Amino acid sequence: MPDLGPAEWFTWAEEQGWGDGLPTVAPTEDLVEAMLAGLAGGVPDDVPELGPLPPSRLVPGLRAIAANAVMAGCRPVDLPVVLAALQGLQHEAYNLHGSLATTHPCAPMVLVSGPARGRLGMNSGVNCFGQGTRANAVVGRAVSLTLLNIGGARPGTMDRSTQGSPAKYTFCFAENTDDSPWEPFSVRRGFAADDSVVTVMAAEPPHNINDHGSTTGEEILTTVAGTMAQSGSNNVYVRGPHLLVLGPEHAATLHRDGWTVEAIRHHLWERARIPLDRVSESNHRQFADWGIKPDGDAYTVSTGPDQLHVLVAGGPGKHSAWIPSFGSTEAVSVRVPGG
Amino acid sequence: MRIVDPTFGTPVEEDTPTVVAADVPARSLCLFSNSKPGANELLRGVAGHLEAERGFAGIGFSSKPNAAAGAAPDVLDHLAAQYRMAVVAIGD
Repeated sequence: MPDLGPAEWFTWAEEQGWGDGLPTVAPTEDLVEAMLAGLAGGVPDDVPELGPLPPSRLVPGLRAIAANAVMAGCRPVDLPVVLAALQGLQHEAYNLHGSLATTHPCAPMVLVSGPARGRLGMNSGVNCFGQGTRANAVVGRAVSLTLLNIGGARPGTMDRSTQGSPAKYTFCFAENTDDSPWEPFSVRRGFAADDSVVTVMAAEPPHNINDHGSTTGEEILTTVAGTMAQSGSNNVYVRGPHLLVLGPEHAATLHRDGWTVEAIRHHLWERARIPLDRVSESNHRQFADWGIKPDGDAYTVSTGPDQLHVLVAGGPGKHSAWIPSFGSTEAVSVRVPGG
Repeated sequence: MRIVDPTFGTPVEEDTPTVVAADVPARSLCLFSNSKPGANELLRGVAGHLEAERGFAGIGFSSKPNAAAGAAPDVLDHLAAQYRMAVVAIGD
């Protein structure tokens, strides 16, 4: 094709149906080759072989994934994290096809733990879910573009999300272990501290938990539990995982008061309950059809405390975040190829 | 300039579709729902019309385990062995 400037390329790519609506970088052969050459020592032995991506059922090759990474604005150092995320998405428990085709607004959340955070310059602190950091922005976007361009999950055709969400453009952040009083999330999931790990989950965007008033860990958890107990959440009847991302200040208060992660999970399991009178009669029947019965005078929010995942991210301030999921998914953790 | 196609992937060889058993009656029909209430209601309406206006009888019904999960292959195989046709509803 003739050489195109950035604006002409954007228009041309749009006409091909390539992209997410935002400008992309043209995946020229030289940029794609440079992306692939950036994999440490060539292609590491532990780069996963990916299976077919739904809904197109096409098996993505490294070159096509690298092309999407270029389009997203990735640097070569970002590619192994993108590959790990795509591997995680293909785990059966993630339910990629269902999460792409659903009317629910879930997006492929990418959480990064371990040394890759520093290598990529990821933001795990102030505004970690928001704009402003290249690695966070482009890694999540490369994953989404791959699902769009190769997987064929196009809005309105195979992506049937009723409203979608901004997280479908990109949803990637890093764990803040420097300000966490507990073991890193990835270590608690069985990985070594020097492993770089990606955790993916079909997730709603973060829901803020504002608590400036509470002064004890138990009070903070009262607010968290109240935020999680939403009658309109998929997790009420589809079940599945939740992610609680504590801001460092909330985490510090909890730790000061002796709360362990396991204690938090069990406490929230008992307290995040939806009173029966907050659920409509028709939904009581709908939940029953799914085999969900109230526990006493309230509904639980999943199947047990093991589905309530807890970690720390963010900067100063009295905010945390609840990330509910599609329900029919799991938090899947994968080691980044090349370490 | 030369562009790498970002949509390129290799097609996989799909499993051979289940062949309908030869002794299945030609007008045997099942309804298959994605398990959402709207889909079930649509299918009940379709079944009523087919029975009243087209003379269908013994219409079967099955559904996915839940709307968020895929249909189990053994369920699809079982339906294919029992019925000649299926009406699928994915309506919400």
